[in-house]
Amino acid sequence: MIAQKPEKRAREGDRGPFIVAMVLIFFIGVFFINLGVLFPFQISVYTLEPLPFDDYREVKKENICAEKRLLIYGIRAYLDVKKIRCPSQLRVVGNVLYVSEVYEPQDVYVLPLPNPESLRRYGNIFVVFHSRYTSFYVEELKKHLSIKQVQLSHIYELERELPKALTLGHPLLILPDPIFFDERAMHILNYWLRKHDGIPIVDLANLNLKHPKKFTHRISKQKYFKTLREVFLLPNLIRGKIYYVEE
Amino acid sequence: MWKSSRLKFFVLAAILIFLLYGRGLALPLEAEEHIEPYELAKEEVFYTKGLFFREVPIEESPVPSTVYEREFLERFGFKNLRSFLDYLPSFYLTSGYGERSVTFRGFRSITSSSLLFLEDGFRLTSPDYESLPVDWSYPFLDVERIEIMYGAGGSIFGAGSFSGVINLERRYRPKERKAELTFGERGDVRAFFKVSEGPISLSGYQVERQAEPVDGAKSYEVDKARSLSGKLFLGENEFSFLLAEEETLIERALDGRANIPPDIKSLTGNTLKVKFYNLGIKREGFIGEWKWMVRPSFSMLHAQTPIYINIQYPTYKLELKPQRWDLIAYISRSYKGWDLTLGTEWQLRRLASYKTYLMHFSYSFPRDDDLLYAFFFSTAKTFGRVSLHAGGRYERYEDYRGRFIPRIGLAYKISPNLSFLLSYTEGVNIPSYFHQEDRNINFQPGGNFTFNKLSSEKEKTLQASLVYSVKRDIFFRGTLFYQEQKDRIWHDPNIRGERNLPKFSVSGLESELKLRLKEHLAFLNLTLLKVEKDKPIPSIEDGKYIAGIPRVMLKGGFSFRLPLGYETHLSPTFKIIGNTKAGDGSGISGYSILDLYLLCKPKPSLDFGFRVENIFDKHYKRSSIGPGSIGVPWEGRRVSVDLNLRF
Repeated sequence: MIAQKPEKRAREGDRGPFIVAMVLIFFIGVFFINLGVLFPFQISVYTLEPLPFDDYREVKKENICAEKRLLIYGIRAYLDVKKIRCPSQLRVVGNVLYVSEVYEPQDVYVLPLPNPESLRRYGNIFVVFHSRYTSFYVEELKKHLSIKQVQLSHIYELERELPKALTLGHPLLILPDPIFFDERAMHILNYWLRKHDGIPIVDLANLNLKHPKKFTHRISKQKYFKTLREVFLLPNLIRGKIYYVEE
Repeated sequence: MWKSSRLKFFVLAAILIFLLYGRGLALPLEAEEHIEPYELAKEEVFYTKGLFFREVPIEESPVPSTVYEREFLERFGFKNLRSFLDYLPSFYLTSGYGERSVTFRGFRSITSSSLLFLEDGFRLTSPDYESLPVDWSYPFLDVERIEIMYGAGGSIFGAGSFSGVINLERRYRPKERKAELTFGERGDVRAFFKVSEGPISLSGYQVERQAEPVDGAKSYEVDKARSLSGKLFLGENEFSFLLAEEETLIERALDGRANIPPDIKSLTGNTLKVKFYNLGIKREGFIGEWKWMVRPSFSMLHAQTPIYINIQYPTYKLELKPQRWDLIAYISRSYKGWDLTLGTEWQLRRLASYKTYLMHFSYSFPRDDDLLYAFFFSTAKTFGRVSLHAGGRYERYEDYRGRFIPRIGLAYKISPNLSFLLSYTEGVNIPSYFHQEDRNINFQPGGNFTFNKLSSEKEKTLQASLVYSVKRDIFFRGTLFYQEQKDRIWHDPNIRGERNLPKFSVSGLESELKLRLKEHLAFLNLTLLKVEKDKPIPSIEDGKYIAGIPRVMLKGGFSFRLPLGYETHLSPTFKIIGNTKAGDGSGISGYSILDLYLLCKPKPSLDFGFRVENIFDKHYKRSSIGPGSIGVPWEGRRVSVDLNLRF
């Protein structure tokens, strides 16, 4: 036993440089990835707000027509250059939620909303309340899931329709719709959900709801930007198409 | 090898460089960042939709508007629509010979027809006169939200929205049972109940209120008032009804005289009686991207109004029973950033049972059916920080030529919370039935009454506002306005009838401030009015038709949450009203009033309230509904207690 010890030490000593080399390669690799060395292609972006990522090339407003393909990030940037028509330019629009308000058939949209298929993990049938702002997303949801939709134009309609809809017993899917961003809506939701604490809620809006069966489904910025990059790099982008975040 | 200090140094240096620059791997170790839908929504709705976050059309208008919610009304103890309006900028209550009026920006009318009152979009105003005949019987305790639009709203709402629009939204909860009782001095009794069960909601309201004798007679706001109202939701249809009636004793003549002889009173009775019935249906839906709405309604007024005057004919009585069949339909959508609304309104006014009793004689007016049709549009578009709004309404009354009523506005978002609004709006009112054609009525023996055909009243409003709003915590509105009226209809005692007045104007400043400081509320409203110099008209009594306007009004209140074991609010409110005196000294002196309300909520199902109106028991006068220089005595202190129960 005593004689084996130096041999074991020798074997460990042999693996040492290998482990060190692997660790170094890993760290150095990550380091260069972050410097953009291993991804020499940078996407061209027109934006008016600072982005949480630095591997893109910002384009000035007067030069946007020089780009064949341009990512326009944010509603203000989109509206800012909407009237500047650049022949044959393909625009990918990101970080815009209510596409129906600004939709143009020649542009491509990448929405910070989950692909409907990724909601299957919570169920196949949902009750959805929405206003006209998110109607387009509900139409998309209906292609993949069974949706009991209730369109609202006023907060008081939520008060009227919510109790009826909750008696159906299906999970409630809460969209990031303006109609919910209101104290009265929160009051109505909290009041009626307390009475139906067995019904699951899938919350895409990150509302401050207290409920034992609440699932908050949030889109991470990293994942969203990854989707943006992937869509932007697709060789055959279809104009007018709306893409969602794949999960 | 690990013991090699050079290698150690190299590995540590690599790790250090990685920590400094290698954010990619470091990110998962930090809290993951997410898209915040609320922040996105807030920005997008502003940039694409217009001014306001919530989809409330009246707030999207560049015309200055404000919203008051149930909590505000409850904390300050506003139990009646008139009392509430009296605390808003530019509003001033008048009264006279039984009839009451709410004046706005100095414009008085015999029948409150400067303002259009709506309930969930349905007209609450009477057919023909377009006044609010049921301001005391209206179940104000059930109002959840009030939207007030300042300035002429004729381009959207048509007749009645002459100087402003007030939309009252009723509360609807699928399951609600509540009762509210008030008992006070001088036989003040108020009872309200509401039952909501699923799609049905029903409420009843009863008010009895005696008056205090002042200067030889009682000045009643109202004697008895009651109403029954409800809603029914059937599928996509919303049915709404209101049955209301009021009785008010009249103890004073038009000129304020108190000693009306009993034999004169017995000729026509001295009770003003009003019954108002309203039934409406609303249906909304979508055709593709278009939202549509259809709203038919029926209203009927039955009014009996004795009027004591003090010249050749001491008394007469009017009885009328006008009906209104109304249909409003519109479609709206957003198309490529444009908000577009197209609509039409059709109104049939059946002016029946109009009678005048003059002493021992009576005259029945011929029945008349009038048709109104109107087409309106509204559009808005946002260009960065600027929103442009435009709208118009073409309306045609059977006896009056068609007219286009425009509206244009601009809103500039200076910062996320601060907006500048600029607007130009117009309003038109047609005269009541009595003045839609020339009539000469002969009474036996030998007397006659002349009714002249009058022109429609016109108003133009130019307004510039700064609005600062931070969530529900701070709301400030400062508005400079200029309103010009032409052909205003006013009573002329010399011809014993109404006539069109020449053009005149009022300009001024309104500021409105609402604050929420933790659990405390406060409001402060200031009005400064500059009235164009009165142009004396010899035939008008006193020669001044706009003399009864206070030039300065400061109103406010604070609602403190007391540090007690249960929810208790102490809410003093005050009004400082300037004088209405003209250059020659005629008019009413200024006054200040302090009210107090204490609200205790020991249990969720039980509230107590204690209210003292006019704490210092001041006896003051307000302008008469008629000539501005005549004062109507207003009563002193009144104490009442409330008991509110929810089951």
